Amino acid sequence: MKPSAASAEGRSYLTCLIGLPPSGREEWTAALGRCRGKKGASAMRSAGRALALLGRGPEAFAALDRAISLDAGSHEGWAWRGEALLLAGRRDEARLALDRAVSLSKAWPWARFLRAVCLLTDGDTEAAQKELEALAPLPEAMLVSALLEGQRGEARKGVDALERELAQRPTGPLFAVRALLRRGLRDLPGCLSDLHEAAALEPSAWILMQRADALNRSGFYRLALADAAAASKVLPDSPEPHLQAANIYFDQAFYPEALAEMELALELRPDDAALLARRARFHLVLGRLEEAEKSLDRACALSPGDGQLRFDRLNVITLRGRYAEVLEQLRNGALDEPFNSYLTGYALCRKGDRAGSVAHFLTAAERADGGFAERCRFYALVCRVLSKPEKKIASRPQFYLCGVGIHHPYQITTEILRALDSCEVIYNNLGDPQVSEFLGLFRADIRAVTRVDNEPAMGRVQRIIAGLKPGRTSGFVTRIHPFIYRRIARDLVTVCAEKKISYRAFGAVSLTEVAWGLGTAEPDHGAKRGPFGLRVFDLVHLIKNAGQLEPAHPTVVYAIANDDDRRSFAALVRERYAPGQSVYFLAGSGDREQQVVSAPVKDLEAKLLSLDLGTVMYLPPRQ
Amino acid sequence: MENLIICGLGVRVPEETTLETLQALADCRVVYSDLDDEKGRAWLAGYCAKLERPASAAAVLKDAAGGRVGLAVWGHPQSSSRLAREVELGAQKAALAYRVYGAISPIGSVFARSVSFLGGDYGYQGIQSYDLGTLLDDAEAATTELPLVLYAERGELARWKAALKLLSRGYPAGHKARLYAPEGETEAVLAALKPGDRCVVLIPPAKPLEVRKKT
Repeated sequence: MKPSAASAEGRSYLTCLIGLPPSGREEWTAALGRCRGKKGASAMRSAGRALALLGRGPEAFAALDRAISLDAGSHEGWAWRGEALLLAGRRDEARLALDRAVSLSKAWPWARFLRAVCLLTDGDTEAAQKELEALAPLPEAMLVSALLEGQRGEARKGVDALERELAQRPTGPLFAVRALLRRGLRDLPGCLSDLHEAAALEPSAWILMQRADALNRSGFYRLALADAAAASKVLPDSPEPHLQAANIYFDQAFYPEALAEMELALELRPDDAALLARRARFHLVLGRLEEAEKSLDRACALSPGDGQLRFDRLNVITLRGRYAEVLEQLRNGALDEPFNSYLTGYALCRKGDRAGSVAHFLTAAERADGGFAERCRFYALVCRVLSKPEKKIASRPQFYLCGVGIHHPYQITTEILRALDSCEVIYNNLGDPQVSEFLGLFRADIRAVTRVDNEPAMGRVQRIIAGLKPGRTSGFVTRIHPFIYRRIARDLVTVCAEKKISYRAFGAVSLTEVAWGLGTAEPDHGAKRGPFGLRVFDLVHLIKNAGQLEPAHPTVVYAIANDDDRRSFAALVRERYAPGQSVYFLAGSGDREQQVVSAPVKDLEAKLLSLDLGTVMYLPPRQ
Repeated sequence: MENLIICGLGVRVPEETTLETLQALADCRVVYSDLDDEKGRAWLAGYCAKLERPASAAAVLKDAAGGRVGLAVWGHPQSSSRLAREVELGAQKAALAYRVYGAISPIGSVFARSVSFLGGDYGYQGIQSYDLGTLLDDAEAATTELPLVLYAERGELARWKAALKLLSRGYPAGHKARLYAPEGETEAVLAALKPGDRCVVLIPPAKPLEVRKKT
C-alpha cells in the first residue's frame, strides 16, 4: 500500500549519478531552449530528457512519448523514457523501456547503465552486477558498483572501493555516494562530512537535499531547511525540495510551516496524487478533516486505481464519524484484504463496538504479514482490553499526562489505554504517523501539539492549557516517559498546579530501563548488587560530582551534553574503569529507532562524540 | 523465534502492564508467573493460554527447551526479580533464544506517582534505585547524596524496618520519605513508614541536589 523504499532510493541514486550541478540547470534549460519550435524526434528526445532532469515530469513524458511515436527505433528515446520513469519511481515501466533500449543498441552504455540502476533498486544485485561488468569503461559504473555493495549489506566494501577512486579523482557524486553508504553504516558524522565535501565540489539539488536529510537526522533542522531552500533555488520548477522542507517542518512539529511548503510543492505540481495525499496527512494531523477529505477526493480522482489513496480517504471519513458510510463501502469490498478487514475493525472500534472489532483485526492479521500483521494483532488486543469492564473510578482528573514508551504505541500500559478512552480531547506530541493512527481508535478529538518558530517552550503549554475545559477530560501523549527529560510535561504540571487543574501522570517504559538491560550479558551482572540496583545520572552533573561515579554500581548516564563535557566524562571513566570494559550506548532521538552500540572504555570518547544528543549510556558494574 | 519470553508486569498490576507484554505472553504455550497478588494473577490468566506457578528457574528453562514459554514477574525483570535473573543467566548458559521485554521499573513508576523529574534545569540530576534485599545485604550500597528508590515485591515489615533503620542513620532527624503501596501513598519520617509487599519508597537526598544551569 505504501510506495516501496526501493523506489524512492532508486530515484535518489539516479539523481545522484546524473547530478544537477548549478551549471547543469542552465545547461538543461539551454538545451530545452534549443529544442523550442522543433518538432522532430531528436528534438523531442532532447527536450524530454531536459524536462525530466529539471523535475518537470508530466511535460517530459509528453515529449518523450511524442519522440517515440515519431521514431520507435531510437534506443535513446526508450532509454530517456526509462530514465524519466525511474526518476518518477515507476520502476516496472522503466525496466520495460530500458530493456527495449538495450535490445535496440547493445553497445550503447547508457541504457545498460540505467538498467543496472533499475535492477539495483529492485534488489536484483546479481543481474545489476552483470550489467556493470559490461560497463567497466564508464566512470559512473564505479558509483553503481559501490551502491550495489551497500545494497548487499557490504557497505564497508563499497566505502573502501570509493576511497581508492576518491584519492584519484574527488567528485561530488563520489563523496555523495560514500555518504549514502556511511549512512547505511550508521556513521552519521562521516555521512555529513562527505556531504559537506560533495556540496563544496558540486552543490547539485540532490546533494543539497541529501545533506538536508543528514542534517535533519543529526538534529540540525534549521541548517537542513536552509539546504532544502538552496536546492529549491537550483531546481525552482521541482516540488521535491519544497516537499523535503515540508517533511522537515513536519518532523519538528512546525505544522503550519509544513503545510505552507506543501502548498508551494502543489503549486508546481497541482495534479500529483502523492503530494495531495501527503497534504491530506498534514491536514489530518492538524485536525482539519474536511480539508484532508477534499485533498484525498482529488487524489483518488487523479489516480482511481490506487488502493492506498482509497484507504486513506475512507480512513478520514471514519475519523469524521461517518461510520455507516464507511462500513457500507467496506461491506461491498471497497478495499483489498487485509485492509478491508482492518478498516472495518478500526471503524467499529472508533464507533465504540470494541468487542465487535476484535474479529476483524484478527482476520486482517491472518491475511497480512510483517509489521502490519503485528499492528492488527495489537489493535485486536487494545479492543479486547477496552471491551472488558473498567474498575470503578471515583472521579476523573481534568488532565492526563501519558508517555507511550520507547516502542510506541505498543508499550502503552493498560491504565493509559483506559485514560485515553475516557478523553474527549487528546493532545498528540508525537509526529509518528503510527501514533496518530493508533490514537484514532479512541473517540476523542485528536489535536497535534504544534510548535511555532521562535516561540518560548511555554507557548505550547499555554495553548494546551487554554484548550482544557472544566467537566471535560483531556489527555496529553508524549514519547517515552513524560517525566524523564521532558520539559513540556514539567511545564504542563507546573501550570496545572498554578491554575488548580486536576491532573494525573502515569509511569512509562523509559530509556533507563532499556539501557539497563543492555549489559546483562556482562560477567559482573547477576552478582549481589548487580542488576538489583543502579544509579542514573545526567552527564554534566556527574563530571561536577565525580565522587558519585562508583564503578561497583551499574550506572546509566544521559549524555545530553556538549563535546567538551563529553570529553571530560570520557576522561573520568578512563580513570575509574578498565580500558577493555564495555560501555553500551542507546543512541537515537525523536521518533527514530534507537540504535544499540558498544565500545571499550578506551574508545569511549570517540564513540560518544560520534553519537547524537539523545544518547544514553550504560556502564556495567566492575566488581 | 525465541523459546523464552521474560516480561515484567510493572509495579502496579495490571495498571502498569504494557500491551506489548500482554501480546508477547499471549503467544506462549505456557506462562510461568510467581506473582503473589491473586487479583493480578486472575487478570493475567485471562490473556494467557495457560498460567502456572514456576517450581524453579531450572524447571522454566527445561520447559522452554521444548517450545515457547513466558515468564512474567512483578516490576521490571532485570531490576526486581531474582527468579527472572536466574532464568536469564540460565538461558544464556544454555544458548537458549530468549527476549526480555521493556517494562516499567520502580524508578519509572515512582517518578510519575511522585511527580518527580529527571534531567533538564528543573529535575533530579541523579537517582539511585535498590531492591530491599540488596540493601539489607550491603548497607553501604546507597548514598544519601542521591534520591533513593527502594522496592520489594515480597517485603515483610520487619525487613523493611531493618532497612529503614539502617538508612535513617545517614539522614537528618525528621527526614521524610514517601511510601507507594498497593493501597495508596503516604508521607512520613523514615522510622514511621510501614511498607509491605509490592511497595516502593522514595527517599529524597539528605541535601537538595544542585540543579543544572540553563544553557
